[in-house]
Amino acid sequence: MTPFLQQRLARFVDREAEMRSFCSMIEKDDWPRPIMLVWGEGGMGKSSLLMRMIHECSLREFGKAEVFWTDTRNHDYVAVMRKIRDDIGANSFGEFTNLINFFTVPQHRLEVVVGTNAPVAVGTGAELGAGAQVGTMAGIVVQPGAIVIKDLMLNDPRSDLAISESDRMARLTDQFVQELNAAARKRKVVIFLDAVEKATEQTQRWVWGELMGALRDGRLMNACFVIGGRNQPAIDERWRSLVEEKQLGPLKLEHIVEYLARRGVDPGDAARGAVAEAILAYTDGNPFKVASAVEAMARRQEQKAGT
Amino acid sequence: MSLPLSQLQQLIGDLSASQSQESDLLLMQLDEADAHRLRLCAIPHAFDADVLRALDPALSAEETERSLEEFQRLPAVMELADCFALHDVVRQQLFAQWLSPERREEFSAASARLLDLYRPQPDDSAVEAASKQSNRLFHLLGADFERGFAEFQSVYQARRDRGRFSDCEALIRLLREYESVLGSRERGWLAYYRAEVADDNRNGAQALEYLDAVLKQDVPDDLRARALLRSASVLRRLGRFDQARASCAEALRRGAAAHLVHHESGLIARDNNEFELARAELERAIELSKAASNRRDLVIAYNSLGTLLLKPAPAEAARLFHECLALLDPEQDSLRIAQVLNNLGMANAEIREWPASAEFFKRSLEIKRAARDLYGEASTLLNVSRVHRAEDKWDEAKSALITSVKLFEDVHDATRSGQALRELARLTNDKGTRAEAQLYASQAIESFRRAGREADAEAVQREFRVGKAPRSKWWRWGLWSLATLFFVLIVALILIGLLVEE
Repeated sequence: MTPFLQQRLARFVDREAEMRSFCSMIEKDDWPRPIMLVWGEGGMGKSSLLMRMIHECSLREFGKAEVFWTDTRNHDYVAVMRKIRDDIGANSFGEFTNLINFFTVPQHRLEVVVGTNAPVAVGTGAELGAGAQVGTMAGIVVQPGAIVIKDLMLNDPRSDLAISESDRMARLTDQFVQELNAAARKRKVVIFLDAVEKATEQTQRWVWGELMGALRDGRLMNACFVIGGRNQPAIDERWRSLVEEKQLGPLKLEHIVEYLARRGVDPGDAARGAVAEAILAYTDGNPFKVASAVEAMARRQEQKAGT
Repeated sequence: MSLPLSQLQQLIGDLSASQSQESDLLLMQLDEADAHRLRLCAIPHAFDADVLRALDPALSAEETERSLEEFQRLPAVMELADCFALHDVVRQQLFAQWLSPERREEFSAASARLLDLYRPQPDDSAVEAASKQSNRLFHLLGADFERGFAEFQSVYQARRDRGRFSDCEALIRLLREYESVLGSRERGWLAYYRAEVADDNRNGAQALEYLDAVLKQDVPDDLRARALLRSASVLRRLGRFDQARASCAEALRRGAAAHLVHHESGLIARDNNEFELARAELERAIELSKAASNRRDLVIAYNSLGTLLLKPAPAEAARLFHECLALLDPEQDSLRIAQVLNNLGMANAEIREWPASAEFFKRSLEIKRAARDLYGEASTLLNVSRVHRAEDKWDEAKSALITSVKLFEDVHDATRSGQALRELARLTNDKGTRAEAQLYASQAIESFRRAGREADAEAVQREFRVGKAPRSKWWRWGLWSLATLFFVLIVALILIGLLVEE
């Protein structure tokens, strides 16, 4: 973690309720709501909150994956699965990687082995009789996990395969979920999806229908999702029991006072309240605007101290 | 008044007249040079040292590092895995300012400098190449709008042709960032593309809104014709057949390809249950596609007419599917070939050519198995089981259905597995035991309920009287009735005999 990120984490204020819910979700095995939806208008601190949660996961050494959409990093469903796979550990997703290659690499056959990451032993312990001659030795003994299948990172579906896009999506997701579930059995997995409103509609449908669908149907256990977005999602009734929704609201006066202190801006006891109230009035408690205003004040203070 | 409070009030005062307070507040915190560099960083969607030096070529490596460190301290700058990005609110304000006339020249020059950064390299993976292409396209629009728009259209169409509809939606979002500077022609095309994406997302109402927006504008004839034809298709799928027909007629007048218009007219008539008209239109579409030497559209037209004639004229349908098959390329059209083979299987089943039907289904199955298309395989096996039943091959029929059920369950399609289980129940009801039929019927009910198809579950329950005593067979009732009648007759004769003696 960079020093600047550490600094931002140190200045984080409020959102105790959200963090408590999050910690319950990741700590309790019987927590009934494995999906947390965090939403709010621009500047409400969704990404900062997710950053805080990611840090919690790191401290607990959980498996975690982060998929963040931007305007030019527009992950489709394959890219989402690839990212989660790579974050959690590609070695756990050999079959999934093989299947992606099968669907995208022309003339690819499922039994292709691309590389190894452990020694392979041939004829270990074999004893040969006197005068015996060895022609060809077959039967390679390979340790579990030694075979590594590399994703050739192609995007376009093969044109010589008779499978529709929707069926391809279903097959890939199914295989992915199976291996994700197996990985999650070994240690809890938390998947963060931020700025999901920037994902295309098809991808959003896949996230809810297929990926979360696996959670709802019991095919994915010991995994949690945190989804950050700008808009309040329209949650189907079938999902209500699985989802904890957190709408981020503006900061209150006491949070602004705390933020001033953490940022090292000390107006003095007499003025602290007035400064915080002025910031609140100017920013309406929008965390981004608060941080920007306080930063501007801090810099002016530093400049004046310097001169 | 305390110093911090007065500073804050001065800050607020300086910003009070601003329409872009967030970005102005940000830039006020930097010296002039850094403020300008950060403003430049709003042109791309993310930035790093390479991007910053491309935007400001005069920067040395040390100055670049220093500027980036300064930027990282700002709340408006977010650190991503391998780069930085401005907060959306700030970037949108700054980018909008870049599109104003007074900044256009500098903006174009900066965009042009960014193009080189996103030039594809030979060792780029396809994923990296696609990402660079999007970035490059975005900046080409900024550097040279006309050239950029032409390339946008080409890339968009190429992605559509490869079935990458999600990418198309992402590309349109990039183009929309330039919406304030689009001319009427480009606005028209943007609306059309948005309609296509809405249609891809099965949002007919929204697609129509965008298409209406195209048609209200002064757009070239080719775009108008396309919009009209697409409108016809969307209206048809919404069941608004008269309006769909009117759109088709107008599309033809505006120069849309005649074979496409007649094809769409055929589908409208088909969906509106006008069989003869549908047939005539689709036949015309075939003639015109041949005349236009358009293989792809001819294949579609053959398949549409064949599907229409499947029940009423299956022999004719089979002929059409054969024509279709002859035009398909196994390297490019595997999916279509499997579909046509499946259709040939059904057409031959309709004319009771069972061996031919089984053969076509078998070929379709082979292709689907090779493609690991479990759903397609399961569906074809359902059809195969019907053929086996017709040929009295009960074991083969049962085996096909059992595999079909398993595959539908593997792909989590409870509705279809319910249908396959229902067929199994029917089969074993005829040729197996009641107990076996009841078992499959119960599983079908459970499957339909899982899929939320209560009506189907109840229908199976009624059909197989699941949970009720078996109904006696009809002939037993007949025998009982006859026996009773006979007994009554004997008694009556005896009584008559006794009366006569007296």
